[in-house]
Formats: sequence, structure tokens, C-alpha cells
Amino acid sequence: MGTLNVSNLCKTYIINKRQNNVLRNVTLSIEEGEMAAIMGPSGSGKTTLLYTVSGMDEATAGRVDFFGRELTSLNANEMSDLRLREMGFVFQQMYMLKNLTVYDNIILPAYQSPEGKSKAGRKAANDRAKILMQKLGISEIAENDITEVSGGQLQRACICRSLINKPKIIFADEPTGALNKQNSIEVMDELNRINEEGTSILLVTHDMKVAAKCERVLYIEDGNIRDEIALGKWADTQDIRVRERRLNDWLIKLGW
Amino acid sequence: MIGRILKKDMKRRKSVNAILFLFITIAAVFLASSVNNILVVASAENYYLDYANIPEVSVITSGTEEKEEIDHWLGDEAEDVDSYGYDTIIALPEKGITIKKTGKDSDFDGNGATIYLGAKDTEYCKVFDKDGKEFSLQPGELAMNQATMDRNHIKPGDRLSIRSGNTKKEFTVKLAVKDAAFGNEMTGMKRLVVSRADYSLFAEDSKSDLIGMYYVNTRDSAKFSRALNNQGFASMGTSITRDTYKMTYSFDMIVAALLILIGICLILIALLVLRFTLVFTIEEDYREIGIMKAVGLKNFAIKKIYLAKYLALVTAGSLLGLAISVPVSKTMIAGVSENMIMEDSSANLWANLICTLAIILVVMLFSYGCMRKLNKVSAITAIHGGQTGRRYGRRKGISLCRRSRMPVAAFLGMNDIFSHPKRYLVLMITFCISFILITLPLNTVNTMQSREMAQQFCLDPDSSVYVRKIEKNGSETYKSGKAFERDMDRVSRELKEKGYNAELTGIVLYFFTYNQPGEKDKNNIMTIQILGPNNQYQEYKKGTAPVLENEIAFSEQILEEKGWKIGDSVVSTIGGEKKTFIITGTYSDYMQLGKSARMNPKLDCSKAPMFDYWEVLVDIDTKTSQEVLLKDLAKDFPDYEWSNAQEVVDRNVGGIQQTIQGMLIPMTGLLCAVIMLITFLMERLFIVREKGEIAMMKSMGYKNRTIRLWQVLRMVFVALVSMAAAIPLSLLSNQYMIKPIFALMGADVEVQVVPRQVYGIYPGILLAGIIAATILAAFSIKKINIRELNNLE
Repeated sequence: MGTLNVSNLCKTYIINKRQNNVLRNVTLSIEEGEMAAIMGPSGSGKTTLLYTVSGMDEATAGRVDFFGRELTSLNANEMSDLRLREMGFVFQQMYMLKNLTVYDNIILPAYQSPEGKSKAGRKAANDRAKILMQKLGISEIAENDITEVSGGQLQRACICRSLINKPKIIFADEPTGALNKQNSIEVMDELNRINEEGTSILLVTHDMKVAAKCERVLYIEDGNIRDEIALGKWADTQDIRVRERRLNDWLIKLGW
Repeated sequence: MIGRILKKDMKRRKSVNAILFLFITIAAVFLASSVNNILVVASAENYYLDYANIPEVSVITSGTEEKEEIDHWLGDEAEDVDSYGYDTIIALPEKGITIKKTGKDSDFDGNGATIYLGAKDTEYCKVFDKDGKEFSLQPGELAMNQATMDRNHIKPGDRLSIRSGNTKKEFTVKLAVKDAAFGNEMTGMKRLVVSRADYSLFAEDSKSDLIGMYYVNTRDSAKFSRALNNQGFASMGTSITRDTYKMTYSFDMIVAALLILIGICLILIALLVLRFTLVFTIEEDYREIGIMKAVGLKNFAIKKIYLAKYLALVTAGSLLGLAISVPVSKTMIAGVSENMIMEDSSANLWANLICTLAIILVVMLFSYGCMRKLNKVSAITAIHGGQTGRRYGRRKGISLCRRSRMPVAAFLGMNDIFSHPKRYLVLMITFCISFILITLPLNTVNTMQSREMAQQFCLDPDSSVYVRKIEKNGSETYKSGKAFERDMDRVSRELKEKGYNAELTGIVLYFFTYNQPGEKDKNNIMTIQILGPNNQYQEYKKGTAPVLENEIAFSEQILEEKGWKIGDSVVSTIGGEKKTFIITGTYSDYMQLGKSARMNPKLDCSKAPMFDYWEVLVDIDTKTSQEVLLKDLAKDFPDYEWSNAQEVVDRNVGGIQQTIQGMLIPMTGLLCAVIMLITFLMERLFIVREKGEIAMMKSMGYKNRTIRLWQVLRMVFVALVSMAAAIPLSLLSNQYMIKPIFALMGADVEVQVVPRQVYGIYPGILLAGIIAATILAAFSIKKINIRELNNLE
């Protein structure tokens, strides 16, 4: 039994009275502590899959189980609780509340959690935020406005925020999509380190270098998982060239 | 191309465009109807007095004996008299009027005023029907003002019997009229209007009760009044200037002033909200404008698209507003025009039209001004919503991590206000104005119900009750103080017989002329004398009450006008005897609009003609509550009119207290509706703007109710800040708005503030409205999908 089990997931949009089947009977599983990437051509349904399996969007049909709980049966409030306590999100754009400092944005989910209602809980959240920011190297921008920091710093702040409630899984949508090469490497290093600490990660990416650092890569095409490749734990095989070559060969075979 | 872009824009940004459209409509309605009302109301008094042909000075004489001499003086000798007219009215004993209703007859209630019978077809001081139109009366028909009809529960068609001298006739009440000279509840004279034929019938038989009315148009009414006083005509009563008539409408003007004030506030609110919405909408458009700039469209081409959009919106919105403003104007004025004839608001439709055009112009100029900024803004800055992304100033918000106990929703609400106070300023001003507006009628009513108000009307607020109509059935009005004292003694005995240990004190009114020794100018001044044991309750601003037989006090206005001082002597002829008095004190009250004298209680004025009596104070040694006592007395002595201090004050301010009290709930409702509408639309705007942030919070696991709570608490904080700002401003408005209106009546009065009402209940109602509107608007939060994250810049 995996952390996340998806079976026969379908998502259909009606646009201008025309039915658009974005996901067609997707079945997949993410194991506890696994770091998996979803790749595929534009419009293949990668982001829709990520949003649907994370409960951010409703599925048209199918089933998503998260630690044995069926997400499609949860109501909006239960889903919110689950997202708050057990899931973390990192987006391509560094979405943050404009009126808050970087630090306040990071602790925002912690203060809303049941533990964050007490003084002690808030103190613990602050301590955790400081440690996270230190680990990710952004302590110096804590009191800055979100408009005053670089994209890479902001994305690391978003990762801190996604980790503040110690989630069981992180969903990341093109986490390095808006970053330069150096920032991308730094962000991926952080995600690998978080994964090593036991947090599952499911990310969507176009970037082969990002996908190569994942344990498993799923290829989606026309709303369905066409194939997957296991690259092994990053901690076990850190030879990026070997991993990239294997991935490249596999993608060429799939017509990437 | 422009058409296609506009069509798409209207469809895609439905909410923002709809809100802007609604605000333009509201602004047009408020501006057009308020300006129209201000024009009508500001000229209302003059319009009404001109309409009824009220002369510059109305001179009242008792009897017609001196008519020839007065005519001669007015026609040949008096300076500055342009024209004059003459007519008579007949003073009716109140008990000479009986209301005939099926089954039983009832007494007529003149609200403490002297009742006069007058002919309908007069050249001056005309009466009109409720719509301000001429009407005719046939013999046997009668008309009176609406308040008198209401007080006596008379409807058109009811029968009334009038007896004066030996003449008695039954009349059918034809209609309620608007009577500018005698119709105001504040005047001590009320007129029943009959046909000329019926009037002549009574006049023939009531020679001794005929009152002469000279209507004089003069260039200088003060000079004329002085000259008239100096003539020393023995039958001369009081002379009433046009300004005095205007003053009697002061309390009606409180309602009018409130309307003007509401109008000004609504205009202010409309323009502020409109500006805010425009800035917001244009900021929303910035991103697209930036993209257009980036793809190479010229500034003028971009401006053309957006100016066309705003022109379409503002034209449609303000035309709709113009259509709505016409019935709104009429409805608002209807409340004020109950006692007055006002210019038809539809006569001022051009004002509505000009206001509508002004809205179109203002919006277009403002839009053009915002668009001009585009010339200086680079494509990328426009894409970033006009923000360069660099900020050099200190961050204004507060810090979440330093608030270890504050709930996140409360923190977010508060932080928003601290971060962008300007964004919430419009709402704060709107709320603040609403809170102040609601305090005005509240404070006015509370002032009217205060002890001080009773004192201003020469009453002792500590007296148990007050009584009127103590004249024996059928007897005529009192001609001297002796007859009045006899009746007071009789009533006192009657009370004792029924077990009431009561002391009666009467307030008697005379008109005496005074001048300083050696001074030629004589001054006809209403003089109050208190007859009875309770004669020391009146308050004085300077000096002391007149106690000895040669002492007198004058109101501040008289001393100021005549240049007299405490310690000066004045002379007067009272009951044929020349008397000299020393001025011992001065006071200010509402009697005779602040111009009166207080005679010592020792002087015997019984030989002088008594004008009227004001009230009889009844002091009863009892532990029974005033309410029960009034009921008991009314039961035991149904022929007399028993009242408490508040009822006497109400009679004298023409029921305006009830009018304002009656306005409180509709006004609170109106204000509540206005601020709820504005709050709702503003909140929707905020939600549209914060869609992305809300989606992001949802993605983090924030529930809809927490996000709604954030929005509601933010609005509550804005309202609380506004309330705090409204407190000192409301105190200022008491000083500079309510006080001057009361001062028009002749004396200063302390405006009464009941904190529980002014700072608790009524703002609480408005706050509840604000919260309800925010919750309603925040329901749309549920519909925001996490996919809206793409809207986050």
C-alpha cells in the first residue's frame, strides 16, 4: 500500500459545450518516502493530474487514496484539514501573500494548524521556521517583503512554507520552472534532502535535469500514464550524467 | 477591433465591470437627487412664505377701535411702508368648539394655542390645500391644518360646531390645509378657515373678540416696528416679522437640514467610492495595457480602447441613475414638505440632468488622467500592475510572528489595513459619515427630551404635572390675571376635594411696553409673571431673579438689542399706572423666540389686560409615579388637559420631536442599506482582487470559513476605526450643526448625548449591517477554485 494510490482517475472539462477528457483512467501509486516526477508533452495533463491527485481539483471519476483515506469522498473542510496537516505544495510561480513578510508567509500554515493555536505551538512553529530557513539558506530575508527577494530565494521560502507543518507528501508543479540554472540546482538539492528525510515528493516537470534527480519518472501522454522508469534513489546513485543518459534514452524511445 | 476587445472585456471581467456600473448608477442617483433636494430645501422657507404672500410685518391689534388712527398713520405718516392690507380674525374660546362625532361630542384640542376663526379669501397669509393648490369653501364648510386635524382625530367630512358670542353654527370639515402664518405648531395661534359669508356671520356678533391684522410690506421691518411702538396705540398687540415666521419653521428645517446633510454626505460617499472603483478597475486593466504596449500598440490606440469602455459604462450607469433619481428626489422631499409647500422637485429636473452629465465628465476626466500615466509607464511596469517591484520605504504592515495569541484571520485583517490604509480610507470615511449622521437625529431627540429643554420653555421640570383648559365650560378667554387666579383657586379646591394635596402655580403672559427713563423709543415685550408658590425655579445666566415689586429681568437678547444692563432702570405703564423697575438679572430661553421679560411675582398686574396663560404647574405631595398620577387626574378631572413636561415641550416644538423620532428607524434603515450596499460591492471588489491570494490560502489548507472570517474581521476593524474617528467628529457636529439650529429658537441649549444609544445601539445596528453585507459578499469565496492561483500576480 503506497502513500498515494490512484486508480482509474478521470478528469473532463466542458469548454464551449465540448467535452475535453484531460485525464483518462490514470492509475499510479507513490510509495512512502518516494520522490517521483511526472513528465510529458505540453497539454498532456501533467498539472491536472497533480492537482487532481492532491485534492486541489475534483476528479470526474476514479479514486485517490492518501494513506488509506479516499480523497474523493472528503468534503471541502476535511480536504482543507488534510492539505494543512499532511500535504505541502510548491508551485512554478512563487505564490505568497503580498502584504506579509517572507517569514510571516512561511509560518502562516503553522499558525492555522491546531497546534498553532496555542502559544507553545506557535513558538515551536517559529523555531521550526527558523531551522528550515537556515537549512535552505534564506534566514537573512526573513523580514523582507516578497517583492524584495530573488526568485530562487522566494521559491526556497515557498518550500519552507510547504514543509512547516511537516507534511507526509509534497506536490510540486514545475518547482524550478521560473528559476535560473543555479537556483534550479539549489532548489532540487533541497527537495532531494527533504526526500531523504522521509517526505514523499510528487513533482511535475519539463526539465530532464530535474526529473533525473527523482527516484521514478512517469510519462503521461493524452491523459494517460504511458510508461515509467525507475532511476533509483538519488542518495544511492548521485552520478547525474548516468541518470540523465538513462532518462534521455527512455524519453527518446517514447518520442519525447 | 475595439468593439471585439470591449465585448470580450465586458464578458470576461463581468464582476468588476458590473460593480463599476452599479457604483456609477448609485453615484448618479445620490448626486442628482441630493443636489435637487438641496436646491428645493434651501429655498423652502422663502418659497413657502412668498407663495402664501406673507408680508414683511404682521401687526396684531385687539379690537378695531383704533383702526382709523392706525390706517391714517400707515397710509400717510409711516415711513418706508410700501403697501399694507387689513383683515380681521376672531378669537374663539377653545371650549366654544365642539367636535360632533356619531354618538358623542368631544372637546377641541388647540394644543395650547389660541384658536382664531378666519375667512378663506384673504389677500395676505393665504391657505392652500395639501398639494399647494387653491381651493374654495362653501358656506357650512371649514378647513384647518393637518396637525390640528390629526390631534383631534378629525377627518374630512367630520362635523364641528363653533360658538362665539351668541352665534353658533355647525360646519363640515372639507380638507386639511397648509397655512404658512397660522399652521405651524410652534406658533401660539391656530386658524380655522371658513367661507367669507360664514366669517361675516360670526364677525357681526363678536365685535369684542375681533382681532385686527395689519399686513405691512416695508423696506425696513426693524425701523417700522420701532416707529409703530412709538405711536403707543393702546390696542397694539405683537408685531410678527417675516423673519419670525421663518424662525417658527426652524424645527421643520431640522428635518430639511438633515436631508441636506444626508445629501452632501451621499454625494461625498458616491464620489469617493467612484474614484476608488475607477482606480481599482484601471489597475486591473494595467496588465493588459502592458501587454498591448509590449506588442507595439501606440498609447493613443490603447487609451482609445479603455476610454471607449469607460464611456460606455459611465453613460449607461449614469442614465440609469438619472431615471432612478427622479422618484428618489420626490420621496425624500415628501418627508419635509408635510408642513410646507415646496417647489416641485420635477421643476429642477435640469439639476438631475446636469449632475448626470457631471458624473460622466468626472469619470471620463478621471479615466483620462489615469490613462495619461500610461505614457510614462513602461510595458513591463504596466504588466506588473504599475508596481516596479522595488520598495525603499519601511514596510507598513504588522508582524504575525510577534502576535503569539492573535488568530490568523484577525491578524490578516488587521495587517491588510496597516499595509494599505489608503485602500480602506474610502470605506472608513463612508462608515464614519454614516455613524455621524445617525447621531444627529438621536442627539436632537434626546436634547428635546431633556430637563433643560423644559426649562427653556419656562417649565419647572420637577413639577408633578401641568394643566391647561381650566376655564369653566363656555367661558371666554381670560382677560385679566384676577379671573385666572380665581380659576386656579377653584381647581386647587377641586383637587383637594378628591384627595390631592396640590399647589398650583400659573404662568401668565402680558404684553407691556418698556423704555428707559428719558428714552423715546418704546419696546413692546412679552412679559411673564409667575403666580403661585412655586415661583423660584427659573434659572438666570447673570444677576438674580426679580423678587421685589420694583424688580424685573430681561432675556439676554432684549438686553443686547436695547443696550440695557443689569442695574439699569426701565419704566412701563401697567394697568394705567406708571412703574419704574430695576433690572436684576438676565436669562435665555425660548419664550417669544428669546425675547421676553420676567416680572417679579409680587406686582399686582390684575388691572392690565392679560394676553394668555402659558401653563399651570401642579405640585402634588405624592409618591405616585407621574405616569399613574396623570392617568388618575385625567380620570378624575376629564375636562382639564393634564400633561407632563415632555408633552408640553412637544406641543411647543410642533411635534417635530415625534417627526424626528419617527425618522430614526427609516433613517437608520436607509443608512444601513446604503452602507450595506457599498460594503457589499467593495467587498466583492476586494475578493476579485484577492482571488489569487484566496486560492493560495486554500491550497495551504485554509478553510472557506477562515478566509471569510479574515474578510469579515477586516471590515469590522475598518468599521471600528471609523467609529472611533466618528466620536470626536460627532461631538463637533453637535456643536456646529445641532446647537445653532436650537439657538435659532432664541437660546443656547446643551446637546444631550446618551452614550448607550449614540456609541452603542445605533452604531451597533450599522456594524451589524456591515458584517451582514460582508458575509453575503464573502459567500463568493466558496466559488474560488485553487486554479485561480494563476490570477495571483
